[in-house]
Amino acid sequence: MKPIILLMRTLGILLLLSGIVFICYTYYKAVPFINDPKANLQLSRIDFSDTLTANQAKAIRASLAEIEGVQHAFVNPDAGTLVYSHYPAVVSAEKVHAQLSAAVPQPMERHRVDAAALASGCPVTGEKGIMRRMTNFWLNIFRNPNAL
Amino acid sequence: MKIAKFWLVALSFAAILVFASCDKDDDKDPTLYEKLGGTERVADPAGGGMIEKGRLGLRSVVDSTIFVIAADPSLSPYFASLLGEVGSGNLTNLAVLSKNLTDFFCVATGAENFAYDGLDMAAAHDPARNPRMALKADNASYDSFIAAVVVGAQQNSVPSELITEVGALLETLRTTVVQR
Repeated sequence: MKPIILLMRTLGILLLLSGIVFICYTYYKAVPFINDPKANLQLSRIDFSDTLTANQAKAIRASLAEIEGVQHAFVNPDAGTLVYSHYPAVVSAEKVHAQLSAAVPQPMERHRVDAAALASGCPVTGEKGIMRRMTNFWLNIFRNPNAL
Repeated sequence: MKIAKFWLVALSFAAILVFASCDKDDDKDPTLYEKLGGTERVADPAGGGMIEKGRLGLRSVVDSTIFVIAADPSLSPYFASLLGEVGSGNLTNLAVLSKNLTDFFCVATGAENFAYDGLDMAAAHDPARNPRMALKADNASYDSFIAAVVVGAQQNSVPSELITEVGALLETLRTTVVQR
């Protein structure tokens, strides 16, 4: 057999084996998230123009509970911030802001994170780009992203 | 006779080993993970299946703590990516942080069935070695982080003595994490 054909066959087999290993590894990394209801749960924040009283915080939480797609909320009255989790496939952060603005009188604005801040932050949130994309791939195969 | 003697010696040796090991187990102090629930498997309220009770407790605390952290403007520079939006159907940073921080706490409190495969705490919080760490942590921000964990634990009805132990555990990491 010509050496070049042998070399190409060897390289092809190695490539195939490497691909299989890579696929198995990325699936192994995605398994903890496939059945995790938090996998597609987004965290968003709304900043109020002033601090909040206990009653105002209670009213805000009650209004949020009425919005479909919002799962949990935490209010920091001293800082005037509201953090809530929601399923983006059901309700976006813009819609939550719009509905909450209509329901409570306190002036508020959406907290936005710029690109520089997104690229930095606590190291435990860091995931290499390719691994995140592969996890998303497996998530979308095994889970319905619209399920709650 | 020789065979009988052999078996007598062997059984005596085995008995000594068994009782000696039992004594060691009885004297061993439970780890913080065991105090928080240990390896007893319970139904997982989220996602179905079974989960170690210790991990379930720690995960609940971590999930509550994440909300407290995200709502604290003083910690925003360190956890900004938590509030970064991802496309619908994609894995969120909330999910990643919850899993990784739960793994870290499980290992740090003495769990044996989990692994934390992230950076060590010194490298993780050194911007020179970890480009995701935009700025070094200072004592004030670390105090805020510990306070957030305490609030998260209180929200999940963790007994105060165990909260104190968790706080003490985090204090042991202060000199490593705080680099400013």
